[in-house]
Amino acid sequence: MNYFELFSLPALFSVDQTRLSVTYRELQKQYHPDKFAMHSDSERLAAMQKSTEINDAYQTLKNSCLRAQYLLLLNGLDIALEQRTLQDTSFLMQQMEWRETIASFTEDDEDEIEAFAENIEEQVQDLESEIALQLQEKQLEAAADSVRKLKFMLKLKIELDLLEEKLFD
Amino acid sequence: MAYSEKVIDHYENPRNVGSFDKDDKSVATGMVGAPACGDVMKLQLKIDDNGVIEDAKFKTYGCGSAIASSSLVTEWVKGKTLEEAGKISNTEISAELALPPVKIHCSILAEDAIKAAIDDYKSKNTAE
Repeated sequence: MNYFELFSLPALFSVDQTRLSVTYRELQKQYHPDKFAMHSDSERLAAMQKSTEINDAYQTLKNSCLRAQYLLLLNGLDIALEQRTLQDTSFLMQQMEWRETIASFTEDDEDEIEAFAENIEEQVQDLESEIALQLQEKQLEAAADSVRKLKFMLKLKIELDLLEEKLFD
Repeated sequence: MAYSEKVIDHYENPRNVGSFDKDDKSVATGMVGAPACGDVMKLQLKIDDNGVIEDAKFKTYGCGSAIASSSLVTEWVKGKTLEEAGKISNTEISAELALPPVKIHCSILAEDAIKAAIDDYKSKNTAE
């Protein structure tokens, strides 16, 4: 049973997040270790494994990047642990520029940082729509490339969050 | 995870940080990125008339191992021909820096940056 089946969701990139969390809580309750305290060792172990699987599935389906990677895996393309490098020069130049911009922000740039964060968020959403379409049309290599790019965008968001914490907290 | 002394040394005192003009015909630029961690690396080589690398600069946004790998490579390529530089492998880089297995991709990134720079130089200088 794959993660989508476990959560009774269609195997699509767009996931109903509310339904996902509701199902997650239901499944968690159903396999909670407390419910199996009086059962045999093997039943307790099975429940624990199921509970771990539910957690893994939830973490995977909740996160757009992990979800896309998982859909690629279901289609026979495993990119999760690949060590290859990306050589799309114009994309990487843009990444470098954005990292430089983040590095140059100071605490006086609150408005600029906000605008910058909005722009990055838009780029992430555009990329996610692209991934949804590419997966739907089974353009797996193209989707894999978009997922790789998404990873850089998510790293950028982490850098931005760290900066905001450093400057304003 | 502990960084080796050599990684810390390169991280704290990176060699040859900076840029050359990428439109200069004697400058080779290699841009690479590692999706696994989101690291971005730019390696630039300045090549003299005899095809020897006279200077190198880098700019890397990434972890200590990625910065150390690119810093080390800028030291190694100086004085080498493009062909010699193209033979530098990630295993040599990771061995020199004692990189743990989870950081091997940083040395792959540095190796690929050299190769990308060489490709850039070739395409720049054969176009006409």
